[in-house]
Amino acid sequence: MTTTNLADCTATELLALYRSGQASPVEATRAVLARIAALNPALLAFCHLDADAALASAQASTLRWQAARAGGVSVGATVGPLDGVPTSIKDLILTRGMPTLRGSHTVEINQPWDVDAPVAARLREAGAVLLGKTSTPEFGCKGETNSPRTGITRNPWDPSKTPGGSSGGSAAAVAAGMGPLSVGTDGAGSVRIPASFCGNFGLKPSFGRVPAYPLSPFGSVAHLGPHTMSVRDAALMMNVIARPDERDWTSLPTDLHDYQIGLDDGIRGLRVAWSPTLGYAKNVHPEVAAACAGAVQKLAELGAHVEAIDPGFEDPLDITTGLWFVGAWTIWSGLDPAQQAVADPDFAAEAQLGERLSALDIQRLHLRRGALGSLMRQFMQRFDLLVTPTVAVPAFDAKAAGHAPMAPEAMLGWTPFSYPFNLTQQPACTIPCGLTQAGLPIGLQIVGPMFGDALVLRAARAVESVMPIPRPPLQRLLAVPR
Amino acid sequence: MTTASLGPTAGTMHDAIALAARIANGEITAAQALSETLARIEALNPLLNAVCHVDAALGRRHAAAADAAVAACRNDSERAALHRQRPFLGVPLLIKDLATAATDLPSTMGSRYAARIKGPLGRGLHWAVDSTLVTRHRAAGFVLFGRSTSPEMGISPSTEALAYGGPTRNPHNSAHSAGGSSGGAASALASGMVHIAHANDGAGSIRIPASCCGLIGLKPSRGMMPMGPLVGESWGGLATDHMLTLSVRDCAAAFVASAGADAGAPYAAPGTTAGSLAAIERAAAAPRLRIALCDTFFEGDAIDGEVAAAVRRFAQRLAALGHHIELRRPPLDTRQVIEPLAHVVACGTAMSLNGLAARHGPFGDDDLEPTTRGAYELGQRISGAEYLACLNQLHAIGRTMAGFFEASDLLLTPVLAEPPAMLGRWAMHNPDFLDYRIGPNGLWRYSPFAPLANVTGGASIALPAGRSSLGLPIGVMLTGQLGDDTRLLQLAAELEGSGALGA
Repeated sequence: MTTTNLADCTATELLALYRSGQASPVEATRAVLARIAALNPALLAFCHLDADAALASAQASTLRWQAARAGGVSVGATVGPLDGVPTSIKDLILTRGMPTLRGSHTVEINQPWDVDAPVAARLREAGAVLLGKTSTPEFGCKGETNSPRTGITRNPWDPSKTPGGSSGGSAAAVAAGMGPLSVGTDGAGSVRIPASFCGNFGLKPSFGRVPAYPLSPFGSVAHLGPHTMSVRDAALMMNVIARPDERDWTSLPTDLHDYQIGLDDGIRGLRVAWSPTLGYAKNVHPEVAAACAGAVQKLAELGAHVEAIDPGFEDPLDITTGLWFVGAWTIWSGLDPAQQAVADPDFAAEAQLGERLSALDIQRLHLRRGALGSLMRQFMQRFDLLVTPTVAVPAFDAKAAGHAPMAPEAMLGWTPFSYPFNLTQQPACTIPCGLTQAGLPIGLQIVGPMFGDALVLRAARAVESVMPIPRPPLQRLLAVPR
Repeated sequence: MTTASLGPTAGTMHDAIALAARIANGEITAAQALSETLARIEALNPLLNAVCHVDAALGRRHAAAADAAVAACRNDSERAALHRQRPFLGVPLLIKDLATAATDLPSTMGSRYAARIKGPLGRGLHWAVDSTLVTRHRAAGFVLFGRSTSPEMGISPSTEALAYGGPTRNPHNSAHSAGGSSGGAASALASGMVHIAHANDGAGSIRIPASCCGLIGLKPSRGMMPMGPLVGESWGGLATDHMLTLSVRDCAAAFVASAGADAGAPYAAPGTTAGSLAAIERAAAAPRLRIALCDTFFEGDAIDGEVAAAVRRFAQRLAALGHHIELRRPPLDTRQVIEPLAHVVACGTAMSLNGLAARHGPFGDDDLEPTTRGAYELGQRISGAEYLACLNQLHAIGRTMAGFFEASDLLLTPVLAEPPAMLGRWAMHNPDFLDYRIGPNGLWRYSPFAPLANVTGGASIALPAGRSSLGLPIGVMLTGQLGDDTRLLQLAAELEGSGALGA
């Protein structure tokens, strides 16, 4: 460790340094806290920070690593799989000892906050150093990150741009070196959109693979997944968080897979469907289209059998937004008028659209969703993977909450590739595949068959091996003239 | 990151008057007091970034003069007389980095643009004359030695000017804002760097940082504080100077030492400082007051629950002292107050920048923060007729509030609708100044209360009232009419004396 700032290390790199004694969790946590102190005012990736608790936790981890090294290193019994890795959690996920305010003035801060959601519990057990909560739009209601409570979260690649959303705080944090691991949530693209806009790796696992508690008011489109600087880090994190939890009645049985095993096996011989528009996207930015086509060319060069083909479904935008708006209406109807008055007007607009839907409308949407899921299960019999752009456009201008009433087109029209796979619940990731001329990241989406999370990670790792994940030009943000 | 251990020591034990008394009676020298202050700044400023200009040599010269005055006293009675004449004898004072002309302290206005100007004393604007206020500070015995940070042109409730290389931080939790625009003053005072700090307030800029950092901050009535000789009024009469303090007596003594219209002022002062100090001595014997409590937005919408609870607890303390509390909201719409105010502030920003550009050359694209540029462009677009129409709208609010105050002596509100924000929330990235101030989730949702007193011209004081669950101070505000300064000081003294103040 000479020139590299510990805040710029991946979790895998940090663990290797801890193992060899070249760096300690306290040093890494201090470096990350210094990065947060320097950049969070510009980016607002974190909406809650507990530096004292993080340092205490890092101190305990440092002692565990010292004991492990004294006992002959790599002794799994004394250190956890993420021991001492600075980690953040999106502010929609309950975390013991920290408020979960959901970007909203409607949430009472004076609560015990004594419950860990499954992912928070698993991360804590694995020894991760929990730094704080990352910013979200109110209740995760949009694909950008701004809220009445927190303000405007910004993109480390260009602070005039949005990091995307709704896990924009997690994405900005990981990209800016404010902790290499973060957990986000994804109900219509909310892990993949911000990971794509911020140049990270982001995975929406198969539904149920990473349990939730309490269950999202938006229902069975809502997934949890990692934001990381590398595919290997995501595999490492999945090993920790992909465990069943009985509080989530939809959680899948124990997955015995070690997601790191086979990660480097490559994609030779895999059947890959390449769909540049899914047959309906009309607004794909030319630079996004070109970068993704270039990445697909690399897949072919790596030995995959690539076929350009659309799965053959119609744009399910109205299914996604209809089910989403009903969820928003569910939350809204639980708020009293005083709370409704302080909610984000954009969220209020979603709720009002939800109010208009009848029970019959909703059941019809569920049936159409089922047909889509059936179609995709059959399609994935013919292909191992489906590849698309992650988002149709690069990051756009950041703005304050209350400027974009969430009608369907405004809400998701610019991200036509993400939400279908929330409906189908398939695993889907984004991996950076280039930059626009203006220097903004572009993401490639890799969709796997249901429960094929390991395959998605393996394919992403193959892309990463030939197209390394870029880091944002942070020196522009760090070197402010004095 | 939390620095709660550096927290302020409220009350009179370590206030500025106590320090001046120790200097006057020879316990310590002004030079020693300055050295201690400089050492604390050296230790704490790298974290807090509250002080942007320190001229130690200047401070030592002023401190030596104070020490010489003490040395010239032949007995205790002469020393006591010296302290009466110079109540802040030898007390180190930071002047806010937002103009306030002082011949020996240049100012950058929190702007990279103004910081490009190079002068004999360093970067920023230089002056050939002292403002009357600074003249009075010097006469009161203060040792001027530096400047405290301000957001660019003073137009943000959080002090995060790029000109200083990073934001100014709250000593109670460094991830949060120290408030603004007098955030440097508040951070420096609350962290114990100094014992008192100059500040000014055009839409809450004394009271917001006082609230964020657990301090006392009086915005005096319009016309009470001298603005000359270089200007007659600031932001169309919205803005006034004063101090952030640890004690009510510091606040009152500084008011007495510096208030009163100066020669040629455009308006007469609405009140007098005579009797202010005596009033705080007999605060408990003062008449009981009718106090209107507003614990929601003026429109009735709920504010943050912890802040609402804090102001209600504070009202109970007032009631326990025999004051009459009545739930009563001013008959106003928050945006009715803020919208014309924002336009006047934009005009003020444009006027200041045009003045700078005429003397020092035009500013480039990267010289101004986006929100400042937005304010400038808005100000440039507003016609004289529109400006005067805004003033008329603001003055109409004064008439409305005069009616409100027929049934209540004072108005009690929180200072802010929420606990202190995280740094970044009010950083000046937004190029649309009106959206920043009055957009759907603009500043008016965070700071709906403080501007009212700037608009009516009434006196208004921020007092520490509690802490949020994250340990951040919550302040409340008592607001009166023009000339109610002494009444506010007296009530604040009563609260302080009864142990009702504190974070």
